[in-house]
Amino acid sequence: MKRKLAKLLIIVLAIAVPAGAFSACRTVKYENTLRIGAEALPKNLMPYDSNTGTSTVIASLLYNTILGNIGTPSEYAEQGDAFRFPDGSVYTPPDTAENPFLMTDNLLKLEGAYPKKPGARFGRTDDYTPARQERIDLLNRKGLSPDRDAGETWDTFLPTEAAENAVPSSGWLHYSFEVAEGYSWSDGTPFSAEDVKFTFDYILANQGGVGAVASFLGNYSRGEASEDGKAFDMYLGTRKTSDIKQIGTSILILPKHIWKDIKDPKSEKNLNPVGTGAYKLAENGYSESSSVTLQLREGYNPGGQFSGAPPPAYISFVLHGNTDIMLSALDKGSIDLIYENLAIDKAMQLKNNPKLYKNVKLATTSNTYTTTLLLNVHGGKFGDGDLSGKGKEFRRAVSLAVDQNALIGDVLYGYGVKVSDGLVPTGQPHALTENGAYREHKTDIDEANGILDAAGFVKSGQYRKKPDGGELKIEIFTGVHNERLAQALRTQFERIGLNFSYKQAGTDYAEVVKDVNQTKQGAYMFDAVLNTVTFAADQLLMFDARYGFYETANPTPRLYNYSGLDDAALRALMRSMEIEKDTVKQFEKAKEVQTYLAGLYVEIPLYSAKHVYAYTERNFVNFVPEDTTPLFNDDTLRYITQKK
Amino acid sequence: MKLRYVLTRIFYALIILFVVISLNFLLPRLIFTDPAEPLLRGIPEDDLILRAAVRAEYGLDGSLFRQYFVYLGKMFTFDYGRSYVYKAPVFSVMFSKIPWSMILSLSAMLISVITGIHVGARAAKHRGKRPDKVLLGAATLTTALPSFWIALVFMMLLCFAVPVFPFRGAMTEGYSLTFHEWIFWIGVLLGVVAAGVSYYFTKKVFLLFVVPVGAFVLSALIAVPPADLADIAYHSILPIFVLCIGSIVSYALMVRNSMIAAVNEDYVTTARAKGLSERQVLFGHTLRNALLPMVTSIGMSMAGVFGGSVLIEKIFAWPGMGGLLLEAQNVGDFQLAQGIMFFYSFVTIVCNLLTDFVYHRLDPRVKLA
Repeated sequence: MKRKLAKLLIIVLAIAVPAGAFSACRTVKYENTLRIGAEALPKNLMPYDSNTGTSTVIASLLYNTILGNIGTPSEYAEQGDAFRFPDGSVYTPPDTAENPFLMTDNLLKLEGAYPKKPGARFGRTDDYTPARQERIDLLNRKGLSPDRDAGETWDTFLPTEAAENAVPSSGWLHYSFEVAEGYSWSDGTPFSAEDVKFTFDYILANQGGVGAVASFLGNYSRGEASEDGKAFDMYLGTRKTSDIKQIGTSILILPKHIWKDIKDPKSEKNLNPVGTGAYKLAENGYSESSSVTLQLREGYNPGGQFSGAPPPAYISFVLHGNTDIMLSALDKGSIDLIYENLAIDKAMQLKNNPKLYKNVKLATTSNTYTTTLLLNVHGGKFGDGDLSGKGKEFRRAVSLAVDQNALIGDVLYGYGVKVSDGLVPTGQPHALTENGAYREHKTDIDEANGILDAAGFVKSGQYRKKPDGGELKIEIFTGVHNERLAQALRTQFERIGLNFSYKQAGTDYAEVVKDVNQTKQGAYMFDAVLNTVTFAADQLLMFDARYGFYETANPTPRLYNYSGLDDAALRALMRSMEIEKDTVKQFEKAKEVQTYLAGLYVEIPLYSAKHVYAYTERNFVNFVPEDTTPLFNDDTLRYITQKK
Repeated sequence: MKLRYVLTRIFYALIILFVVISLNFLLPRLIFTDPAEPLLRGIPEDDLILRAAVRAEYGLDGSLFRQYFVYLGKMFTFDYGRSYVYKAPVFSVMFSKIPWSMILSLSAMLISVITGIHVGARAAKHRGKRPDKVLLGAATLTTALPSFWIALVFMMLLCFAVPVFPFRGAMTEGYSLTFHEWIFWIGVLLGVVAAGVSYYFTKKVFLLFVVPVGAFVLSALIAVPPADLADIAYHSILPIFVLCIGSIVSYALMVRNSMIAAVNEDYVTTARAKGLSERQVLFGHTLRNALLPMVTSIGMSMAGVFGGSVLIEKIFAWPGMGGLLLEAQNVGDFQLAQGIMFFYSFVTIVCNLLTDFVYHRLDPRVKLA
């Protein structure tokens, strides 16, 4: 009897529990929702959290920067003037001579970033001379001060080259902005220039708690807000005009009336964010490790960014288990796009099997990252004094053996573009050109073999030996995702009789390379690495970071100068480029830098991989892919509409 | 149980725990080239004072020996550090995830154990016949097929092809869990009182454990509104089902094999000779002894109950402990990774210890060393 009762109880529970669960299952709360699938979600809503890709896009919907970015639609690159936005409007590329960093109005007006025209109240002036204490404060912040043990004082230190290079004594950049109209905080408080000043001061006072954004203010000396809050002045202790891009478009502005009470941003999760963005957090919108839902601020349209149909009432970032699940969800219309770009082999699988997910579409965009083969010219085999004085010839032969077309086909399945030896991607205003066209990387196996033969790298069996007869084996150090590329390179180098092998690093190969690069023995331990670089227009400083030396008593390679390249002529060229205030001339100098670098054959370009994004038009239409950004970008948000 | 035996086992467990704590200190430092690197992002290389302060705050300054002794001190004061990603103490991050993992793992274990016993006993009773063959066939399949593949197949079938169940998350989008803590703690308190009272009148030791645990579970259920409970139940059906598939077969096989081994024992012959029915012989005598290996297996699986299933939770985007270690490693949150590894090890050691004690109580034949 007892057993029968127990059985009955189990059967009843087995039916009742699922039945109860089904009957009480809820329908999704938010209507007119753009659902974005993601493999990782932020653990908080701090504006400067960059642990996941979705952190930054969510923050950009909640908050604003002082200036905005102008995106380039991917299809414009193919269609040119025939391209039209979904509402029929024409895309006009910005004048890169006047607006080299492709910025636009946002919280502040763009005209403040231009050199001031005569009679204008707002704009940029380049000749601010700081007070002595102002300069000292900035030097101190950069960790530079007189060596008291050596008897130095500020009076003796300030005129030195080290101090002058770090913080010039004159020619500072002064920006004067007007606050744009129509912006307010999501709690109704009006936006003011005081918020901008507060944000920059707050970041500098809490560097450990705000992530990487503090580094953008390395040259920021001070800011001043007008009494009526409608104007903002900013002083940068540098002559490098590209700083404004990072400061202007990467630092989200915080509400002073909220954040003045947040003393410890390291512990703050900011789960009730107040921002100037078009969206605010929806009710119950934050569910850790599950979803983040934002709600459109009704009637809020500063700058007229939403001129056509209103954007989605809700945007939901939803965590998913993996890419295959997201693709199935996309196909069913449970989500509308996948935030992260697809792995190349997954993109190939979809392209070759269109019936697999009938409703999934793919968008391809370019990006500014170039994959390179970086040769160690400091302690490795490839310096000009190495290989019996034939290091440069050797590097040139290696460069000529690289076939970018073959790499793009074999490794990227065609989802990539070639890159010139100048390493700047095509389309950038300072990209290296020859006779009006983008200068292509040269591949010539016969010439490479001829160079090696003439330089004394004689073949012994399958592989060549050094000119002195020693064995020549080169090891490429690579991260975990580049094995196929390394194998493809090995095959290419075998065509010129070079014995290349590769070694995979562990979890964080960049750190390992950095550590290996600066070993106490003074010897650089690797031969070559597979590296990734970007030299966008606003990142002209990157040349210095990649190939420069710290200007100290015992100069050492800069943090990312993995090759250990130390070339005085190159440094002089880079310095001249960085402090050139006329951007047209600056970009010409950037081409001179690229030409010189290309001739050194230290960093050999392999390709620039494209990004592939998956989306569906089951619920929404008018996605606008943009170069160098994810598919969910400003233009997509501007034009996307619900399918009727 | 001899006191000496208990104390000896506890002593050995403490030694193992000390070794685990030490390994736990070393492992993140081997996995992460510089554990402090994620914490120092954004701080200029030149700002040595701030960088040193951050290192000191996370116990990453000084020599490796110094760091080790600071770490040991924190372990003994239950200070497992702070997760820089979650911006909260590691303890609280873990304990916010454990209940979610327990919902899946504990439910799956209960269902698997009960069903597995029944299926295994039937297979043993009908050895060589259909129930037995079905079980053996199922065992071959579930061993060959990885759990994540099974999960994906059922997800494709029951979430996309025929949308019966939700395919992700623990609750419907837009709803968050309401938990009335005061109801929960009152229930737990009542449970503890009830345990004491029931032991006082019955003198049954097991009530001191069973009643508080039951009160804990019941209070947790009552503290959640019915709509939330139903929503969570709806979302958990498929992941629990997937977890059960392999476990049921595993337990059933264990029971079947133990019963087959036990059925030739003398006491079984005696029971038959006494005239007991076959059912009474199998379920009243044989099964009780055949369950002993299962006790060990359940004990060893308890860490998984708290720790969750990494693959299943990742596939179903379930907010449990399973994905936490993976996530900590991916973002370089070494304090969180360290805390989780310690927690898993600690639970495993404690569960093994308790299993030893329980096993002796169940099987007096086991001699205490």
